[in-house]
Amino acid sequence: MICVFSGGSGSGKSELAEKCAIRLAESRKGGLYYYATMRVWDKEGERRVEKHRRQRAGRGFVTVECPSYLDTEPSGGVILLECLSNRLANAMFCDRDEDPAGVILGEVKALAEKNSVVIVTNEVFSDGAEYDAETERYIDILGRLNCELCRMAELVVESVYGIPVVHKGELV
Amino acid sequence: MIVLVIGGRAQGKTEYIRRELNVTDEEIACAFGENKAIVHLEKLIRERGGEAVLRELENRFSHDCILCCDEVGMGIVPMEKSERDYRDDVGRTLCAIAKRADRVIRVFAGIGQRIK
Repeated sequence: MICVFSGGSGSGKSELAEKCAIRLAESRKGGLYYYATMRVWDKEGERRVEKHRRQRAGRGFVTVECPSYLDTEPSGGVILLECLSNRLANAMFCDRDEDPAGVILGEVKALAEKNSVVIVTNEVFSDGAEYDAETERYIDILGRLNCELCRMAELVVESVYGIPVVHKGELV
Repeated sequence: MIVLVIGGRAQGKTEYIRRELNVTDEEIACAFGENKAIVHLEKLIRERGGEAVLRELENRFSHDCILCCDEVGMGIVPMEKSERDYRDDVGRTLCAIAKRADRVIRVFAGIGQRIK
């Protein structure tokens, strides 16, 4: 099962996705995993990671650091993937994967066969600005990934300042 | 009653509150005065910071109040730190206001959708 949570910066999407993952885990025996994809480069990154750690402290998540490879071993559990946009940026700009969308889709499909996967992604599509070719390619690939994952998903939610706007399925 | 109206830039939010919430031009301002409707909260947040804006609003939440704000942060993460901080600040502040609001309306191309 796949659930997708999207939204802009500071839209409260992580909080909604965490709550969904916790509720899904209540009815399962497997583990509750937090797949952290962010590579930390500086103090600002450290603070962001620290903020998210505080937010989920005591909620029962096992943190798995996976900036460039999503561990597909778990079975029967709930995986919160935080977040797709960082995972894609790493695949494109650090690991230089030739087919980043294909790699990530393969990982998510493998995970979702045996687990519930809650994916946090990002709305980066509406600022109307022009960017360099690399960034334009990133936006296009993230958009297509979002479309493909939302097509497979049972639940698609957009977080609008903490309010869940359900585009597909029913909120769990 | 606290009503929050959000939506992208130039989506007709002010027009919407005139039309649907019967607010007159005299009642609209981008300020914390006697005005019934506070528009362009995002500008006030940029000028004063989210925390200061929330403090000002605390005094208004006891009576009817209409708040309008541009939805920002739906683009590529900006290169400039101050711009990144600004988007986060608007997001956090609006999450807090949305929690307090009785109604949240999102305006898309002039069409309002009540999401809370």
